[in-house]
Formats: sequence, structure tokens, C-alpha cells
Amino acid sequence: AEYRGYNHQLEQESTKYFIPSSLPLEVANKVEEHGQPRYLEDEGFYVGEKPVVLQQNKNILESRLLKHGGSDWFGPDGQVDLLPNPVTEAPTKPWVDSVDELDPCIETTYVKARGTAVEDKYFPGSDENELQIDIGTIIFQHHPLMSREHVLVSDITKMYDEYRIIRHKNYITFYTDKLAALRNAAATLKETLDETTMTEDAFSAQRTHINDFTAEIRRTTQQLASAESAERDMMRRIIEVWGDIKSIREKQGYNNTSVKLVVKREEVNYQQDVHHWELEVENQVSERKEEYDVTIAIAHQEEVRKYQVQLQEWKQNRLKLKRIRKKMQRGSQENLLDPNSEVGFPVEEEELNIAGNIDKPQKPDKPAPFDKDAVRNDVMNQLLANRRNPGEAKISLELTHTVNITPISSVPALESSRRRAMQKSTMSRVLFNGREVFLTDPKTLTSDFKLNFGSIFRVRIAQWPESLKVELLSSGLVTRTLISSIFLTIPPTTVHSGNVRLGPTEFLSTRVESFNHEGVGSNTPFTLRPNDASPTSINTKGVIISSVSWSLDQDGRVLAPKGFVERDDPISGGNPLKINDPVIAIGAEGLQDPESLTKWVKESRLDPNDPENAALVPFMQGIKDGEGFPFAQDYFRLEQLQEEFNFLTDEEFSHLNRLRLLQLRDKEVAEFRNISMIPCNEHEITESAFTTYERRLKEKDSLQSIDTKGLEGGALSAHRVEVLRFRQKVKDAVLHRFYTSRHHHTLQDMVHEEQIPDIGTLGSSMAKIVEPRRPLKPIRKTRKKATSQNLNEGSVKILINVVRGYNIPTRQSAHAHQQNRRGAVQISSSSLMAGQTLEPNSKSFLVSPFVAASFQDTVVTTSVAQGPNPSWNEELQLPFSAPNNDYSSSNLQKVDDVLFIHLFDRVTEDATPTDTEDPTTIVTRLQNYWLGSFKLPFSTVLSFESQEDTELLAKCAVFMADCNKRYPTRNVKTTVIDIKGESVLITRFIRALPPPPELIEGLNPGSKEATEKLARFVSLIPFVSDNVTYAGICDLWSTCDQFMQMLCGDEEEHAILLLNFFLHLGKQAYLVLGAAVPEGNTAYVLTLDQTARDYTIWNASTGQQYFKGDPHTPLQSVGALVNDKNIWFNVQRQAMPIRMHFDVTRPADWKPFFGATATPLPSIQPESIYFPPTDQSYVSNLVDVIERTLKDKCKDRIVSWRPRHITRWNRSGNSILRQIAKGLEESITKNDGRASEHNTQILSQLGDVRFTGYPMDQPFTNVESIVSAVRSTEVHKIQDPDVEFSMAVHIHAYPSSVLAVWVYVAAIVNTR
Amino acid sequence: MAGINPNPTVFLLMANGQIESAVFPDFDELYCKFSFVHGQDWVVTSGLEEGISQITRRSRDERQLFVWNFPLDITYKSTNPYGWPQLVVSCYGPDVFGRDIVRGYGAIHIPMTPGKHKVKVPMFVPVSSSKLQQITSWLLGRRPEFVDPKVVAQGEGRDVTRVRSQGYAMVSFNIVTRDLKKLGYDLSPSDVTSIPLSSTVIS
Repeated sequence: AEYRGYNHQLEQESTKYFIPSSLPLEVANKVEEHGQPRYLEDEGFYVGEKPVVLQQNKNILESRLLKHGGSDWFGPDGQVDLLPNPVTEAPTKPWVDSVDELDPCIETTYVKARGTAVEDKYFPGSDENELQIDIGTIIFQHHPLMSREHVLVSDITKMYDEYRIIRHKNYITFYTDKLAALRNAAATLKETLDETTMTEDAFSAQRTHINDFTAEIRRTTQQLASAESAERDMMRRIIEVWGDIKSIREKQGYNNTSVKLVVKREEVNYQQDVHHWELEVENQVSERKEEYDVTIAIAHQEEVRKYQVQLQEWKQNRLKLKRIRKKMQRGSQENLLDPNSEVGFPVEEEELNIAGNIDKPQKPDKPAPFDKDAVRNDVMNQLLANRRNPGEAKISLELTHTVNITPISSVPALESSRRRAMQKSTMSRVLFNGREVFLTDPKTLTSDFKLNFGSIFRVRIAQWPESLKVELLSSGLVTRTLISSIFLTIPPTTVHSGNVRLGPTEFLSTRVESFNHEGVGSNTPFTLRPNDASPTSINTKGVIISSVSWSLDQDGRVLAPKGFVERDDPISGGNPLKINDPVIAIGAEGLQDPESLTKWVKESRLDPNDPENAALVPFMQGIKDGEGFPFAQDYFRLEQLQEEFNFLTDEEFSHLNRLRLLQLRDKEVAEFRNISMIPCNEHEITESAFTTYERRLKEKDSLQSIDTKGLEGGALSAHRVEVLRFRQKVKDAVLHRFYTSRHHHTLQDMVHEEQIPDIGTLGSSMAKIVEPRRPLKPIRKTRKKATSQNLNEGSVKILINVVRGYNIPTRQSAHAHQQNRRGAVQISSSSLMAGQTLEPNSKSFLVSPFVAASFQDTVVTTSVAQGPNPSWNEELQLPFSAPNNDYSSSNLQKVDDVLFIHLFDRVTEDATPTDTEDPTTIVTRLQNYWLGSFKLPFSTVLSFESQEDTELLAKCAVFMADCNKRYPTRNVKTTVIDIKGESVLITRFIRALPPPPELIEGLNPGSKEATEKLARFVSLIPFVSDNVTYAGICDLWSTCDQFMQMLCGDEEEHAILLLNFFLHLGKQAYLVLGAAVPEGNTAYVLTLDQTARDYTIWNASTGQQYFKGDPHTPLQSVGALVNDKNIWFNVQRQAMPIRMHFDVTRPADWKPFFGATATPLPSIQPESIYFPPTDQSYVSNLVDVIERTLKDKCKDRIVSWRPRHITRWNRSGNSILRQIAKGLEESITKNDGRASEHNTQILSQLGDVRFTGYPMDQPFTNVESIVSAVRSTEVHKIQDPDVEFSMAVHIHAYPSSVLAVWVYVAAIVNTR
Repeated sequence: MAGINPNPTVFLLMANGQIESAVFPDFDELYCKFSFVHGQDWVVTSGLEEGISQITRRSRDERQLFVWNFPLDITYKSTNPYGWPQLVVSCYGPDVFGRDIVRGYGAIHIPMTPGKHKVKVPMFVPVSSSKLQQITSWLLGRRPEFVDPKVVAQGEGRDVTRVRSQGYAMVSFNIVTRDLKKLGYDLSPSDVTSIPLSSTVIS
């Protein structure tokens, strides 16, 4: 490795690297021929619209193309061709000139040709079909290389040809002879016309005859006159042009053409001429007189006759009128006497009117008399203009080619360069259906601009002939230029090589060509004659003498395809460039009819380059694609082959179950997300695979449309349906957001990377070195989390550590009465505590409690301990199986199974039958009495890492980072996600809200009753964890009105509602963010009693209150306090409420979020909530429903739960229980001593019975949860044969459909 | 079920072979982990889905090879070729301080055609997102790693990562399939009638 200098590297690079410039390039480099860009659009070509590309990028591309010699990529305007040419049918690549230098990347490989599958283009079968094409001569009437002299000569030649034709046909002689003959005949007829000898019929026939002759003579005279004038005109023009030619030749000093006009004069006899002349004049005048007689004089006589008849009638009418008038005068007198006679009068009156209205007929005007002199003058003038005047020599013209063309050596430079240009050879190629089939030898133009090809060739064809085109190409040095293209007609099958004749076909090219030399160019203006005012411009045009015919085979059979019908297509044979106006061709209505328009476009073979056809270009393409009518098409590419790739119709697609299954799985629809092994055959998938999904869809639909029928027998009010619908909507929206965001990964999701260490972490890592190896107070290390990937069934277990219990209620007497389940038991994996409101009774018996835990239909129990303060120290194991065997965290969070922990009292009862035969045997019965239970949703067992990744405000982020650094485990939030999925500062949720007025009516707002009643009200709103509702997504906070509307929420919603009520009562209250057992991170409410300086902690979702000093507070750690103004983070060493100071004004204990002067932010809570009164009829209906369900269904259930025993119902017990149940809600809120009173009440009424009762209350969610609560008491497991059951239901209705449901179930054993 | 089912509902894919060797020019010791990643319609009927190899030292000849000869053997049952199984190989090796550092991730589809295949699996590692992190990760020996090695078998989320290529591993496969053709999945070219015995190297 030798060191080379940087400059050396640069040098090397400059030879190796090419850096395309982004600056605009010289236009001249990009344009091929003349260095001048042509702007096609300005010239009127249809260019289409190019896509927008950044100019810089375009420049880079251009310079790269130029560097690699791709000048073919540039259009004539010096711009890169950004789109395929609108007129080309298929994309093409530029022509590669030399094969040797072929770029390897565009090298082509040979692929065996295969016929395209377009069937109908080809002939059926393999008949031999052959066309014979004879390209004879091409005669240019105008050619760009013609000089001015040539142009004139071409003119004169054309005119001379016409003149010759006229002379050849000899119209004048023909008409003259005809005229003479007619006159003869007319004269004969007139002679024989004799009124006396002939019958009337014969006479009139003769007369008509003569009239006919006269008309014919007149017509012939006119024809003769026009023929004469045409010939004279033609001669005059020819002589004029000849004059021009002569002057041009004289002016330029050389001859380009050999044309010479010879005028032959024939002297005539003047006398004879005059005689003929006068005779002719006389003849014509007399003929006109005759004509006048016939047409005008006779018509006049006829009119006069008619007039006289009319006059006669009129006179008679007049007489009649007079008579009537007289009659009327008489009749009016009679009329007075005889009313019956009045019938006749009106009729006559009418007649009178009619008669009076007839005007006197007009006498026809007498026509002007035949003015012989005027007619004679007219005739003389006409003859003078048209006919050879008397004495004028007879002239005949002859065009000869006798003039010598000046040789090239003696002409000026410009002319000689023109003549040299004429040496360029031209060839023609023949294209059949757009494919080249033949190329003639190159020929040079003759001096009279003719190309003699004289080549006959045969084309064997396999496709239906659509077009046959001859292209004239002039071969330049490198490329060939297309001069013109001519369409030939495909001959009908009757035309074969035996009978075909060469015929001319005209062609025209609008190609623009101009030269520096004497050539006048094509479609370029030039001055033909020196004295012309405006320049002329002539298009290249000419005639091809050719023939196309079908070949004959050896047997003389025509080799034409069977069934070939010549297309009725006059244009293809003629001039293809002729513009046909669609309006003329198909009429204006046709323009509205796409089909006829398309058809017309198809037939007329328009030139797509012609700007006038620009609007029709899409139509031409549309035909080719064959897919309907492309009206709004402003692009060129189409999915031409899409049709062929549609294997099935859309309808068939929708019926494919497997495809549907795969698609649903791909969309991550809940039911199909984890489906595996989708069968590979369509028939293996049954419709049942979709039933759950479809049912869910249907349910969703039925929620959309108000249809409460199918839902729990009408137990749901319209309000609840509304709530369900709202929840569904929110859930859908949240799920949608969640799943879209789940596919959006951040670097943290993909790559595990160490954080950049700062001083703190570096310091702590330093400190690690010196820290003691075996500390005296070891810090508990958390168990390493198992990743969920390697989990499978059977390997996951739930572990419950049951440690000990406190204050378990004891049996009071033989008639043990377990009361008040509200003495809730809190159990966690580490400790079990019981906070019991009942004081241990001095007369109490011992109790034998044990704990049973059940999860997913599996029950495990601890051993039975003794006494009210038992200690078990046992570990219970419950197997866990996830739905669908999917242990991914998102699925696990959806598990809504509940872990039940029940506390039972085991009683051993003497069940020895009285009439036992064996007195030595004592039979005892184990009876489990339910003491209390505790539900733990699985979602709280499963612990998650925080998935909060919100766009926190910068301050929040700083605050949170600071807090987390100091006490990472303490629960603090600054922003939360509201129901719309937006981050909201937590203080905005807090605002004083008036509680339902019914609740605090008549109570002192600051009193204990009021607060307890509110807490009770809030706790009765059903609890649903966000984790279950919005599985694994996030914790959503809803505002109080949303909460009241949904009637469900988790700790935060309950706590906020309670806090807002408390604030309204004027209490000093805070939201406590902390961790509690068993909820984990949760929210409580803290109130401060001003007078007593006493803090109370409220669990809003249960309604329980704890004093600050209570050691059994479930709240284990306090992270932060929040009110409407501020957030305070707990920076005290201790987080247990009992060891804390709650004075937020002390900065040493509490770190505020806002400074002291900050104004509170506006709240997102409403000013007040409307609590609609609960419909009492609905409540009573609901009581009925529940009772019936429990009595009918549940009775059945209780019966079915204990299949081997008779189940009896104690009716008197029912009514007593109902009485008690009604009082229970009161006793809860008042919290007075009535709770214990009712045992005595029961016992006094029931007499000597053993009574085991379970009053339960819960917020109303649905009937099913009530039934399962009844079941969880295990009251049905009492096996005493004499047992009877009683039950009562009471619902206490609070406003806003908040319902407290009390169910009192009791087992009564008569001990008498 | 005796004999061959004329109307199969699943197809079988058996792959065995070895992670033979690797070329990582800059390292001395390496071991590798492999795991198979497959779609939802695939089930492993036998064989190990994951494994971890011995640590091997680089050969001291000019080939500089790490040879593991670590056997793979797995049989799949499937109904849908979508989610065709991939072999994910990740290599780890200790650095000078003896800290375990990831040296490369790579994934390759199990070859589809029956026969013997020799496949080269290119490897790459994620790089630190900044220079500073590069230094600290070097100091602390905690290089960036993929959260789950299986992400290299899927395309989702790759756009947020940056990687550097780093050596390659050679894997040989022997593939046997059953009933694929009966289910309409024709994997061999139509003009090949016999199983090709020549090995193909896919790079």
C-alpha cells in the first residue's frame, strides 16, 4: 500500500467519475439536426401534457443521457421525452445504430417468436392467401426539390392534360352537331304541324313534341356555351402560365425543364365565319322567341282564360246578392207576424256574407312583349365571350418537351445544389397491417419528378388485411426520412392478378421542408412569380401508379381469404390526410353517442398528429383497448391486459371462503387474528367458520338500529342500549387507532440500545464498585420477567400466597348468622387482611376459616385454620390457559376471567340420623359457610410495563423525567389520554360539579352523611377496567359526563367524579395517584377535614373510606396529589399514607408542577351534569325481572346446582327477607346499628331455625353477574336434607339509572 | 393412514442440514443461535425450532473460517405456502473483555425445491443511532441489538433501523416435500423431471 496524494486521488476520480450537472444544458446539444429546436406544439401538433418533474432532476437526467450518447431521448424541442409518444401504439426504445457497440445492459436475447393470442386478427385455418402488389411509377405533382420553374411546369402540365382531355372528348363538336340535329327535327315538326289536317289529339301531341325540342335545344345551347367558354378559359390560362415560364427562364438564364408550348393557328375564311355567326345569332334569337311563346305567351293566355271564368262567377254572385237583399227587406216584415218562419234567414244571411266577401278577380298583367333587339344583343355578347369570334384564327395548343435543359455545369450554384439534391435516392416500402413486407430498390428522381419503381412482389398474408400502406422514404446519409405515406385499397376478391390494371392513387404530405437552394420546399411559403403579392405554399403531392390484386395459383384459383369482404372505406384508398369533420360524417347527434363516434373514428383513419384531431386521439386508443369508452382520459397508459388477468368475476371472488378467511386474518379482525392452519382446500372451510364473526357484525348492526328485543329479555332500558352503542363506537375507534399505530414502529420497538449515560448513571455505576457485596439490608430484586414467546399451555400458573387473616367474624351462636358481605376481604399475593366492621363478639364461638381460590373453573383451597386470626402461609397454584393458546401480551390483556378468592367457614355438623342402627358410628357433615369473597380481574394480576408513549408537553416530560428519576416506582401522571385519544393535562379533569340534588337534599353539605352518600352513589356505578375494554391499548380517562353516560369506568373515573362532588361540597380534596392493593396503580380521593385536621382516604370505586392513620388502608403508596390547580409529586422518603405529611404547601415534601402564581387551566369537564331521574317503572320492572330470573331461572339453577337434593323454598322467609332488604340500603348509607338489628327480627319471625343468610349488594350491570354472585356464596352446597331457601331482591334507584341491587339469599334449616 | 393419501389436506416440508460455517473476518470466537420463523398456517411436526451452538474459534489457516457444523432438522406441516419458514441465524461472540456482543443477524427462506442446497446467509448488525452512542456502547460493551432476532425475518418496521453488513454464514439444506404438487403448488420447473443433484449456491 503506497500512499498517494489527495490530488492524485482527485485526478483518478476525475477520470473515473462523471458527476452530472444540474444546470440547464445547451439546447443545441440536444437537438439533432439543425441545432434549432422545433416546438411541435407551436406548430400545432398535439403533444399532450408532460408530467411534472423537478427541473434540476431533469437537467441531471439530460446531462447523463447526453454523456452516454442518448440523444434519441430528446424530442425535437430539446426536451427529454418524458412520456411515450401519444401516437405510438406501443412503447419503443430508441434505435441502436451499431450492434457492435451495444451497451450490455440493453442487449437483447433471442426469444422464440410466439403468436399472440389475439385470434380474430388471423385467418381461420391455414389457407394460402397472397396479395400481389405492383408499385409502378410515382409522379410528383409537387416535390420539395422542385424549382419555381418546375412548379409552373407542373401547373402547366396539369392544365394541359385537362385541356387535352377536353379536346379529346371534343364537346364542342358534339354539342354543335347535336344542336344542328335538334334544330332540323324541330323544323320538320313545325312544317308538318297543320291544324286543319290533324286531329286535335295528334295536334296537341305534336305541339308538346315541338315544345320538348325547343327546351332541349335551349339546354344544348347552354351546354355548348359553357364547353366553349371552358376551353377558351383553359387555353387562356395555359398561355398565361407559359408566359410566366418564359419570363422565369429568361430571368434565371437557364432552363430546368424541357417543356415548350406550341400554339398552332389555323387561318379561316372571314366571310364564311361572319355568315355562320349571323346564322347562329338568328337561330338563337328565333329559338328564344319560340321559347318565349311557349313558356310565357301561352301561360299568359291560360291565365287570361282563367280570369274570365272567375269574372263570370263573380258577376253571377253579385246578381244573386242583390236578390237576396231585396228578399230580406220583405222577410223582416213577415218575421214580425210569423215567428215560425225565421228559420230560413240566417242561412241566407250567411250566403250573403260569403257572396259579399268574394273580391272581384284581378285581371292578369300582360307580360312584357318579346324584345327582339335586346335578345339579339344578349346572344351576341354571349357568343363573343365564348366562341371564336369571326375571323379569329383557330388555335390549338401542344406541349412538347423539346427545350434543352441547361446542363449542370452552366447553372448558378444554388440551382446546381438543388440538382445535386435530386440525386438522393428514394425508395418505397410497403407495410401490410403496419408491418413492413417489402422494400423497393432505391431510385433517383427523374428530372420531371417521377420515380419509376416498376416492382411487382407478392405478400403471403395470415392476418386479415386491414391496411396496406406505401411509404416513400428518401434515404439520407444516416437515416431515412419519410416523405409521404399512401394507403392502397385492399382489392375485393374478384380482383386478381389476371385482370388487375394499374391505377393512380393520389397522395399528399404535409411535411414541412425548406431548402437553402432553389428548391421551393414543401408546405413552406415561397413567391412563385416575382409580382405575386402573397407567397404561396404547396404541399408535396403526387400520384402513385400501382395495383393491388390477389394472386392466382397454378390452377388459376384466386388466393383470397374466404369470407373476405372489402371494407367500405373510401378514405383508405384515397387521401388519408383528408380531414373529415365528424359532425358532417355522422351528424351532431352522433357526437353524443359514443359508439357511433368511436366507429366513425375507427373508420376514418384520422391522422393523430393533426392538431384538429387532438380531441379524438383518446378515442383511437380506446378502440384498441377494447374496454369501453374512455371519455375522461388524459393519460396514455392503460392496463391493457387487466381483462385477461381477471380470472374470476368479482361475484365469484366474494364467494371464496378461503380467500375471505385469509383476508380477514390479514386485516387482523379479532376472531381471525390468531387462526392458524387455514385449510388449503376451499371445500374444507365451512360457513360455520364465520358464524361468530357474522354474529358479532349482526350484533353491532342491531346496536346501530335500536332493537332491544334480543338483549336480556328487555331488562335493558333504552338508555343502556344507548350506552352500549356509545361504548361500542368508542371501542371501535380506539381499536382502529391502536391497530394502525401498532404497525408504526419506532427505533425503540426494533432495536434495543443503551441510553447515553449522564453523570447520574455514571456515578451510580461508579458507586456499584464500592457497594458492599453482601448488604445487611438486601434490596428485593424483582423476578425476571418471562418473555411471552416461549410460553405454551400448561407452563403458565397463577401463584397465590395466602399468608394470614385478621378479624375474621366468628360464629355468634348456634344460629350463626353471617352478615354483611361488605366487610370486604383484601387479598394479595403477599398478604391477606380482613377489615371487618363487626366487632368480635365476646360470646363468639371459634371459627374455622379457609381460603378457596378459583380461576377458570378450577378451585384450590388452603387447609382449614382455627380462630379469627388464622395464619395459613400456603401457596396456591392455579393453572392458566390463554384463549387460542396465544400468549402474546395483547391477547393476555383481553382475558377477562376473574380470579375469585373466597373465605369460608367450615362447620362440622352432626348429621347422625336419629334412627341409626349403629350407635357407635357418628356421621358428621362438613358445611362450608361463605364469609366473604374477593374478585380479582385477571387484568390486574397480569402486570404490564407502562406503554405510555404520549406526546407530552415539554414541561410534563421534564417533570415526569425528574419525578421518575427520584422515585421511579411512584405513580404520577401529568397528561392522560382522553376518550378521543388525545393527551390532556390531568388537572383539566378536575372541576367542582354539583351532585344529583336528590342525594344531598336536606343534608348539611359538610356533613359526614352527605359525603358517604355521595361515595356510595359513585361506588354503585359499575366498574370496568380499561384494560379489559381496550385490551392492551392504553388507559383512557373519560370526563364525568361521559362516565355518567357510559355508566362504567375504572378507578380514575370513579375517583374524579367523587372528587368533583366533594369539591362542590366545599371540601378540600385531592386526587391521589398511587398504588394500592390489589389494583396496582390507581386513583383515590383524599379529603381534608378543616376543623379536625383529619385526612380521609376514599376508594371511590368501592365507596370505602379510610382514615389516614388506618394501617389497613389498601393504598400502599402515594405518588402524587392533583387538584384543579396543580399537581404535586410526593418527594417524601415515605410513600405509605400513614407515614406522610399531606400539607402540599411544604416544598420539601411536595414538588409542585406549576409555580405558585400560575392560573389554573380551563377544565374539559362540563359545568354541571344533568342527572336524569331514574324511571321508577323501569326499576320495578327490573326488580320483577331479576326476581323472576332468580326464582325461575335461578331456582332452576339452584336446583340444577344441587341435583341430588330436593330444593324447597320458604315463602314466609321470602317476605321477611324482602322487608329487610329494603332497609339495607338505608342502613348502609346511614351506617347505623340497624345492620345487627335485623337478625333478631328474622329469628323472632322464623322461630327456631338455623338461619344462614347472605345479603349482597352490587351495582347493576346485568342479570348474569347477579346470578354468578349468588352462586359464589355456595349456598347451594348446604347438604342438610331439611334445608329451605329464601330469597329477596330489592333495587334502590339513584338518579341517572344508577342502581343498587340487593339480593338476600338465605338457607333456613328448621331445628325443631 | 396407510399409504399415500390421494386427496391430501396438508403438505409436508422436511428440511435438514447444517449451519456449516461462517466468515467474520474481524472476530476470534463466535457462537450462533438459530430459530425458524414461519407463518400462521405452518406447524412444526417434529424437530427443534430453536437452538444454540457451541463457541468456535476461527481457523488458523488462510480460510479464517468459523466452523460449527451445527445440525438442523425440522419437519413442517402446512396448508398455505404463505409464510414459508425462514431460518433466522444470529451470531454472538465475546469481545476482548469477555462481554457477549452480537455479531450478526441473518435470515433466509428454507429453499423451496427439493434437493440439496447450499445457502449463503449474509449477516448484518444494527448500528448505533449516533456517534456518541457508538462510543458509549463500545465503552460499555452494550451494542445495539434487535429487540427480537426474529424481526430480521419480517419487513415491518425495518425502515427505522440502520444496519451494517458483517460477514456471512454458510448453511446447507436438504429438502424433501410431500403433497405440494397434489395441492397445486408446482415448485419444480416443468421440464425438470428428476430432482437436481447439483448443489446451488444462493448468494
